Amino acid sequence: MAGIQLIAIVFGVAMAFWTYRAYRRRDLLGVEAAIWFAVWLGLILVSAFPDALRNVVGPLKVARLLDLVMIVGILLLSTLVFLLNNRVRRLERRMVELVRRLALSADEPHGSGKDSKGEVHRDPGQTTK
Amino acid sequence: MVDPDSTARHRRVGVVIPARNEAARIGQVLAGIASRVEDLPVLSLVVDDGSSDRTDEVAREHGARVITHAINLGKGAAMKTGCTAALAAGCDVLVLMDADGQHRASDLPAIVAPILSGKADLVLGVRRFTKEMPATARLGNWGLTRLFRLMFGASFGDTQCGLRAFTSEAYAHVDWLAIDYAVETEMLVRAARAHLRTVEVDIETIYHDAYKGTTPLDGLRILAQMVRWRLSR
Repeated sequence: MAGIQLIAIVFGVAMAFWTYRAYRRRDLLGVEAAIWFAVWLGLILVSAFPDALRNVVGPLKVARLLDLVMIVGILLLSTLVFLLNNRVRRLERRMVELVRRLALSADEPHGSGKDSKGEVHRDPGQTTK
Repeated sequence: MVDPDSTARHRRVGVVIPARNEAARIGQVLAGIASRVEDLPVLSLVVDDGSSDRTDEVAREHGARVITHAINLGKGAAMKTGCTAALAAGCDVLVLMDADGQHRASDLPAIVAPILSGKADLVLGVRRFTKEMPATARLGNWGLTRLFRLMFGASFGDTQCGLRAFTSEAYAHVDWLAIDYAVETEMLVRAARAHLRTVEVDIETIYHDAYKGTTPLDGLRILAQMVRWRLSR
């Protein structure tokens, strides 16, 4: 077994352990934990038995098995970054709106922030965005 | 373009001051703001953007109305909260001013005058890029101002100056999404695209030793946003 295979297996096992800990702490839902376990299990299996994917490398026109693993890894990472970026932006927008609403609500005795119907005042033009 | 007739009738000036950890200077800034500008009553409104010092207390002690963000959101978000509150309080002329003493309250009449006379929808303070400004800030402000002209075809003397005034109607056109230091630039992009009547007023260039405003990294973020806004139309 090559050194890189061993490193990949150890890495996969460690990540599977962290995934389990995140699941136990309820940071991950069951479905999410299952997906991550599948990813780490796949990594461990591909690293331990690289010959199992030899038949896939040819039809995909990929020179080496390692190239296939890297390409799939990059695709997965790109997708994750894209999804995380969207999620963070959405959370940031909601957080900003929440903090601003709370600040304006606390200022309510001065008559700002809410109109006569008790709805949060919106800036002119804000609804058009 | 905003109807010139509508700008001839104004009721109240709202001076919005976003502040974060400015307890040392906010009092002096507020003390300089008169209760009336050009015969209109003034509402001084400080938005405490998640300060960990006594910014809110000092501001209240000096007669300002204070709105507090529970956590730090950024200058653009604080300005937006302040403008929302000022509009709800009946202000129809909005002035934006920095809390760190970079702007003199004595410039307020000159900043507001073009709006009250109906000559402008948006008034911009313009600093001279002299040695009073730190070298990195001078280079950044100069570069962003020139790049703005190249990218958007509108010429402003100082795209990063925070001392500005506009009517409530103009605010509907320049209302921004940026929550950080890109807010000043976004405002100008929107103003240029809405063909607002803009007047520039020379103001003194003031920087203090403990300057903690826009950094070179912020400058790069603003540049990235400028590219995004340019491509978005």
